[in-house]
Amino acid sequence: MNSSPAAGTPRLRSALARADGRRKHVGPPIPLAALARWRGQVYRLLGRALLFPTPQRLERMATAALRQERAGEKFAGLAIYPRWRLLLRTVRLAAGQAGTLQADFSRLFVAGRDGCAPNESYQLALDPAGAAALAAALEREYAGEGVSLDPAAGELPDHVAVEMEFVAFLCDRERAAWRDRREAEGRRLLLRQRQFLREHLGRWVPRFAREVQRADPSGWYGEVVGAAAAFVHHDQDLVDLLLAWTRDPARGGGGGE
Amino acid sequence: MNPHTARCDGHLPVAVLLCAHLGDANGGLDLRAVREGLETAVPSVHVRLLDDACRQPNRVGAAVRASGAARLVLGLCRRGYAAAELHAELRKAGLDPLGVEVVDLGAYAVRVHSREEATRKARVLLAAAAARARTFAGARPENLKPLLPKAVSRRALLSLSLLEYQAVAAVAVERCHAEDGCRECLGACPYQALSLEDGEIRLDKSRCTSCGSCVTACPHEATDLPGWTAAQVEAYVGALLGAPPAELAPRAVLVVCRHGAAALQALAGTGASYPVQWLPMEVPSLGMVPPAWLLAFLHLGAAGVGVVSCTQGCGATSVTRIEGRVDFCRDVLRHAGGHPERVVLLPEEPSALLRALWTTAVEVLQVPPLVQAPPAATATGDPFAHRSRARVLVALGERLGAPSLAIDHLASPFGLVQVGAGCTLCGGCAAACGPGALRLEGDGEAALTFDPALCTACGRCIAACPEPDTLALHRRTDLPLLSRGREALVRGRYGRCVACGGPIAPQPMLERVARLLAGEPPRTLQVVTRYCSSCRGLAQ
Repeated sequence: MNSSPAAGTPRLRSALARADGRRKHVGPPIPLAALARWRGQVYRLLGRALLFPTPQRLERMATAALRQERAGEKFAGLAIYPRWRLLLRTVRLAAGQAGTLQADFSRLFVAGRDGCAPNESYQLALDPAGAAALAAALEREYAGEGVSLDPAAGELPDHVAVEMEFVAFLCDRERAAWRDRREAEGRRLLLRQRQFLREHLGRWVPRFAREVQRADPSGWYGEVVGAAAAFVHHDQDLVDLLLAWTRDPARGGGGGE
Repeated sequence: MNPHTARCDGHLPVAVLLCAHLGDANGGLDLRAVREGLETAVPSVHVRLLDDACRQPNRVGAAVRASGAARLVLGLCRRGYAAAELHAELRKAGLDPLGVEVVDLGAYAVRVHSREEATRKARVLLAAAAARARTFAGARPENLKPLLPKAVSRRALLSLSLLEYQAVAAVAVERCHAEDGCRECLGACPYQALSLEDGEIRLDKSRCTSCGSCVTACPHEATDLPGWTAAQVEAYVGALLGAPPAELAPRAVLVVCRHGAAALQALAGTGASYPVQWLPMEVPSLGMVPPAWLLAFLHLGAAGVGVVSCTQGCGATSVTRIEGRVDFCRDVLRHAGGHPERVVLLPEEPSALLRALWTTAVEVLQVPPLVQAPPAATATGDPFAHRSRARVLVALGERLGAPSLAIDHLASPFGLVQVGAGCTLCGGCAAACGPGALRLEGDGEAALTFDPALCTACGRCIAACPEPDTLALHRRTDLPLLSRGREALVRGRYGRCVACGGPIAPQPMLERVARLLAGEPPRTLQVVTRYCSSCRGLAQ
């Protein structure tokens, strides 16, 4: 059998040419459900990395990082891919380093003397009334999606880990929506993520990252928070693009805003 | 050791992958000569031929992995390669795609020159690309704009196709002086993609076209566009003008934006040929090229500089702007006794461009370059940095034997502020001066100082001055003033508080206040002009 593109009927040649053209511009697509799942996992990992580093938590994070790494090179089409791989390596390195990390955590985030408190209200320099209003607004946002902050967690609603866990939760629901082909719900959840990223994480995490990197330029937290800022920035762009992509009627996307 | 960070002889290893089709018969490159010449002349560069590199991104990724290179240059025979797939492969191989240099050797060498000439030119272009790749310092997510995939299919339902990213400018908040009133980038952007929010400059990526105008306009070098840092431009131009083989000399730089590049491709498609000494330098837009760059090319050894005009992009003012800049450079050369025709604006229409490339080559390449040997790197360190633009002009003026050159020109990149008798040293102009050319300083004595090398002639000082007809701004490039640096324009003693001895305000300002309050009760005047703000309450 001759497999040369020049061979075969004109129709075959035309089909081969079309396929070649498609291969040129379109790589293997990433299912939206898989993308949402991955994004949720990254947010969850980042959020947990910014909680107090108990040995058990670090161990669980290292396991999660290893699992994510095995997801392979599916996401190499995203520009954040190298930074994500670096993050996974960084997280895996932390297992067994609880003592050092606890000291760093206390210095950076508990004492807060370097301007590194991991809370939105602190980074946006809100006064007590503003901080209270922000906490109330965040709790309303969480409640709007049917979740609430577990008081036993001991964190404020504007803590970086809580906000990231909320986005991870939205990603999980978005994944379920795409998987069940509920496109309108998938788009609604993307819109919620866009709004939350713009109004919260996207506004203060870059500043937070600058402060931590200034105080801990070559340390573990400097790397993690740098990755968090990079991921949040990339994710804002990605969510915008996903909204545009799923709106495109040419590809059957649906669901109005 | 991570092979991607390994260095050979202190140089970052660079892989140069050449599409094997470049060596096809009928006038292709002598690929062996390219490889041997490049590997001999440029340290830590490894050249490899790759069959069908333009169509097989996975082969590129595998070759990069095998080479262990930290940077990559691709010499392709055409532009239509699968960018998204290639970038994904490069990321898997540990490279940042924004740091990869792609050279269209098809359009710039193979299809427009004889085999021998094309081979020599390819070596120079690849050496320049390798130098720029080596100085790539990485990009941030802020520098990336994801683009919607162009091709769609029903099979892609509920899936996202591989993304392409466009490099965009990003502002480094830690270096930005927006809080001090600097707005240079806002004024430079032809697309209103930049705005000021919460005291910080923000970029609307959906509006940004990566024209780079904001990058070269920023006096604090706080804006960056991957591929176009001052260090990368210097590396590229240095190699373009200095890389072997020497027989390609004298060389001339051909500055083209993406539309100009398309004109050169169109020329290549017609089978036309032009002098091999024209070495293309693709810039994101002509709007980003300041006159200091055009003169820096000459300063670094170019015999001439051609700028291929563009009427298609970068806002309505781009043509006027670039014409003005070229005219300014010609004016400098004319007044300094150089050949003004060394800097020319060329038409973009392919046939007219071809004619101009030949006629200009006759004018430019027949006269020896202004600079026979490129200056030592320390003489004009960072010649493409905003802070170095005055140094480049001063050095060029000295080389031309015209150190006292002073010209007024509407496109002069420098302004000259002059202060009249009415200045009260209030400091309003200094507060409005984003680039920091005007400053109010001094302890015992107030002084309004001015550094013309930092002035961009933006005119905000004039708007901020409360005294009519006191400040004047001229668009002037004055080499003696530029080389002298910061000087005081006005000085004045501080009026001292009669109660605590602390400073109240500069004496000229107190005198002005006294004139304004002439009709008020004497006690009011006394309190305001003789007591500092802390002691005023006690005085009343």
